[in-house]
Amino acid sequence: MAGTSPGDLKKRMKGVQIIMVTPFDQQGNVCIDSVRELTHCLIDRGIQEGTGALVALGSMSECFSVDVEERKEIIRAIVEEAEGQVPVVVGCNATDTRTVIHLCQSAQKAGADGVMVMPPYYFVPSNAQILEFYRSLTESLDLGVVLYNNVQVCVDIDFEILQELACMDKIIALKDCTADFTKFKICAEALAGELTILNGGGPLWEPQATLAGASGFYTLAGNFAPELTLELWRACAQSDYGEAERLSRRFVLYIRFMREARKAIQLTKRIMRDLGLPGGFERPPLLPLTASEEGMVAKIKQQMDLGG
Amino acid sequence: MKALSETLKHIIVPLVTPFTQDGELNYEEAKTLVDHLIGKSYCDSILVAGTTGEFHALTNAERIELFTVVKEAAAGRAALVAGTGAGSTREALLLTREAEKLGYDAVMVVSPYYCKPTQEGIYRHFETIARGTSLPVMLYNIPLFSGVNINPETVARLSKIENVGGIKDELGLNPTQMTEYSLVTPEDFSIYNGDDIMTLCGLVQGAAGTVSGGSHLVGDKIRNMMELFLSGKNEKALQIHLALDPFFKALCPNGRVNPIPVLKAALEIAGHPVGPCRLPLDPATAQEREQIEKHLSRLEVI
Repeated sequence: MAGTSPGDLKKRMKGVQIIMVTPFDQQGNVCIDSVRELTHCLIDRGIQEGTGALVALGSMSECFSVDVEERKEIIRAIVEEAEGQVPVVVGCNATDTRTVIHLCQSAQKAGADGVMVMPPYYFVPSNAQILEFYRSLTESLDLGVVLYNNVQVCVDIDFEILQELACMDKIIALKDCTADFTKFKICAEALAGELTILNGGGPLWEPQATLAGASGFYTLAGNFAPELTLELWRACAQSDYGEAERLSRRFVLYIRFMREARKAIQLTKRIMRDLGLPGGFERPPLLPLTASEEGMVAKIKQQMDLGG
Repeated sequence: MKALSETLKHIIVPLVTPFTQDGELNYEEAKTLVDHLIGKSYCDSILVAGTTGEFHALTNAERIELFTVVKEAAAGRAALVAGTGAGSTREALLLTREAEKLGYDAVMVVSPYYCKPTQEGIYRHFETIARGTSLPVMLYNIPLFSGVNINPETVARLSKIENVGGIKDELGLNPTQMTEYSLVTPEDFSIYNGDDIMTLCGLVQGAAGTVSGGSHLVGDKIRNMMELFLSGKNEKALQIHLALDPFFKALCPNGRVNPIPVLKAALEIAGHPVGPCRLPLDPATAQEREQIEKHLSRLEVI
């Protein structure tokens, strides 16, 4: 199965980028049937070519607890079910260059359309190391690379380095997590010719990010509320900020829970189970919601107007 | 009670408090500054003795005298808000009542600072003041300076009091909190952004307007930017934002958190003898003045 050329992918990367949860059963095994079902469900509910993309094995997909064999199986399942109706991008992150290249090549072989890569983390990479890392990565791949500026986990890549990286052929998009509006705008304006700019700061930041030049946003909530995330993206894309503000209010409790309890994955899977969606359970070391956290779920669902 | 934003409109300028070189309050220059702001349409309304007005360095007698002088100088040409915040509830209430006697349109009350009250304490502080006046009260959240955040739950409770009409939120630390506020307050509750750099972001999130210290000097550009955005000309508005942003950042050089010393230097350079800040704010250095002067000429303020 052939992936997309980097130039094509650049054009296709817009809209709602769903960071797909990885469904595990209660014994901790990957449920491939659920992976397939979730892929179908998201496409059926509107995440398609031109409106979004599916992101497998991001950090919110618990990529840190999935092994290499499982990764291949998951990617293959998503790619097969997607049947080219929506781009499939795979998070490939590790602490060293060789491993990242290996993960990317493996994703390419499994049929992914692109990869999403932050600089190697854990140690703090220098500018020269970041440049060399992406140079060797892009040389060993045919796929387009989404440059992930993950301010929280890694470093905030300097603007000058972003400009150099943007000129590399296969780097086609920037997932930017900065919450500094002016910096976001300056980056977006300078890099728009080379890269598709995507908001990694979540739904509450989406109106501002779109104004600053983003073409879409990353979301975990889209796993169970794809329509709501699509509505928000459309309102922002049409500069209907009044409507965008009304829609983004529905995410407030969800985002607050993520920020305060730091259990975004567990919450998302819990809501998915409630709604009969194939989200499955979390894998250790993640722990389920506590009884008091459980008490918040109904309120969050009510605010998002999910029913169920 | 009508919405606070109907009275105060889009741009509230927090008036700089001029001092003479020996540190006395310069009431004459305050009047001149009011004429400047109104004459040039740099403001829709004026806030007296806010953070930018160095309320923390004024005696209560000076504050009340300043309220009086500005009221006379404005002569009904702009809506007026009195900054009546204080560390103690009793003192804030006393100042609020003075502003009411003087015929102010509203008061703005900063969250109680220094003593680190609980959310319940913050609630009772504002409740006591609001119930003690018939003026509309604007809450003022600036955790960067006050040390406490007015949480959305507390704002929700306060917004049920009839004359608590809005909040000014210094967005810097948590720019999306405005959405949390608007979620839990009535439609006519007016939310203002309180950070020059965030004026456009505030509008995107549905803010009623901005409290803009920078508008002393670039009020025409701020107004233009807001009007362009509100009429759907986003890219033009963004270009003004990008031109202004380095100027606003240059107001806080060398690790300064408080922009007033350099703002005052900028006003002096632009021909407004507002004098230095009172201690403990130290005056802009020669190098800081030189830097801000470059921005003023780039923006064609001088």
